[in-house]
Amino acid sequence: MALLVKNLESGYGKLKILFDVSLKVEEGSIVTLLGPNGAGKTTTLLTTFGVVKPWSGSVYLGDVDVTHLPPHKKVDLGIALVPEGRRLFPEMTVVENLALGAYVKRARDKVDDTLELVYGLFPILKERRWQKAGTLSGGEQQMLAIARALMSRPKVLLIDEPSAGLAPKVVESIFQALKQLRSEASVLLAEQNAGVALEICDYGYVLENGQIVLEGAAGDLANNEHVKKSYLGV
Amino acid sequence: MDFFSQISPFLLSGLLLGSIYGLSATGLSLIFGVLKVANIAHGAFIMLGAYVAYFALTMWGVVPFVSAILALALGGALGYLVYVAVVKPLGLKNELNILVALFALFLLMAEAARILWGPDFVGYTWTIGSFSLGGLIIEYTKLAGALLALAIVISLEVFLRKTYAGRAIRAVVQDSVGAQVVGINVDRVYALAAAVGIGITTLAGVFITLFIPVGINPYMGGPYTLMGFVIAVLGGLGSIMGAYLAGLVFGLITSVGYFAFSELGFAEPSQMALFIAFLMLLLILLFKPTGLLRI
Ligand SMILES: Nc1ncnc2c1ncn2[C@@H]1O[C@H](COP(=O)(O)OP(=O)(O)OP(=O)(O)O)[C@@H](O)[C@H]1O
Ligand SMILES: [Mg+2]
Repeated sequence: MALLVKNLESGYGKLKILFDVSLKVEEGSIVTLLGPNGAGKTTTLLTTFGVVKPWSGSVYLGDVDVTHLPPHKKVDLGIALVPEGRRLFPEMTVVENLALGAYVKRARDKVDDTLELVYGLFPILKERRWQKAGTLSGGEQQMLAIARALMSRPKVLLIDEPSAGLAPKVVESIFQALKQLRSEASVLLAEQNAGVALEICDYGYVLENGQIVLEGAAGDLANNEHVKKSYLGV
Repeated sequence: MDFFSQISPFLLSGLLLGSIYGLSATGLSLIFGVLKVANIAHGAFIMLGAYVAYFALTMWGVVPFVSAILALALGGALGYLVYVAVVKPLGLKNELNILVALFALFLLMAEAARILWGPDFVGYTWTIGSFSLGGLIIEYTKLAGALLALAIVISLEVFLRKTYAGRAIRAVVQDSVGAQVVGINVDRVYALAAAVGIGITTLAGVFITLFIPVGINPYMGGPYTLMGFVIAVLGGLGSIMGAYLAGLVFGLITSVGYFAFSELGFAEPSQMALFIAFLMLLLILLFKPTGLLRI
């Protein structure tokens, strides 16, 4: 299902962070949100998801206006978030984390099928299923965070910097898995690592100081001078 | 009499009372684990439970094991109110304001009890007999209270591990943002934890009267807040089983302490038992601030 963000503004306290952010994630596509540290990528995802309250603008899931719904209602309707810092339940096992991923009623009946799906995507999680999440490696934790989000059977998946703090090989394998998600959900991926993100996405936006300064198809962005200079280091 | 037969009644009564202490501390620990709020008003709900037991028995002839259900329901409703009317409006991040508000609630409840029920110590007698085990006299009511307390703690633990609502509570304890992310209505979990936590505390107040039949009065709550914190910290704030086990340990230590100090005869033994509680809190915070167990 498509996700539409229109003229979104939000911030913390009195401090405005997002200025008139608009973006669209077409059904079955992967869209990336590029930007430097502090640009407002996380804030965009959190406001879309409802953890941060929107000041103005709107968020649509398909035709439904979900702008002011709290996070738990958004999950119920089919939006899932893989948050910055992963936010796993450290004292619970991998299986318990995944089971909680399927907390919303809509997902509960499908738990067994969805488990197959995420174990297929990340086989290492099946091997580690009785291990506490807090004892997993960084890469495994990131995989678990993505898998936990998938357990709610989302139609739109928001992912916040999955590459943060991980070795290139691990990043590569996580992004290969993300590529396979197209058939399951539309993906909005916030990333600083433009190289890997542009490889798998269809479309991209560049966010700087809380504003969208550039957008385009992945190939066009990869050839854009500004993107090359600021984000690809060439 | 040899030393063992002298001390064994104190060990036994320490364990029985410790089971009730443990139960009451699970309420405190649950609330802290979920809301990260120290329920300073804890002892006031123990007091309320004690009065429930007293009035239920003396006015309607309802025995404590039945009025315990009433106390659970009353405490649960009040716990929900405390969350909705006090904690939530102040905002969970304003810990100091909440602490002050709960302290005010503690004083308010004690004064309300004094106005409604008078300042005097009241109590009741209710016995269903006793039996003797190797020379030890054990009252059925105390034994049943201690065992029921254990059963309630186990049920709570099973609830937390096996039901969706319980797992949602544990999720919030471990990472409240993570809980929000998986679609848990965190606000409802806060309300639920406050209701269950204070419900159990009030229920524990009923059971405590099985041990202090004439010690019920409006100002009885203070020491229970203190002891509750010592126990919950010893058990690892947020851990249910930890709080219960710590209750047993605490019961044993204070009971044996009472025995020792009454033998030594230089201090008032029950005051010394409280002093030991303070000392324990200090030592735990110094050497093992994470407590015995985690949730
Ligand atoms: N909870 C908060 N309270 C106040 N300011 C915040 C808060 N979270 C973020 N900010 C500020 O909002 C701005 C945008 O932050 P945000 O986390 O959205 O950026 P980002 O693009 O995700 O950065 P990064 O790549 O470092 O994760 C920053 O200036 C940051 O300092
Ligand atoms: Mg960020």
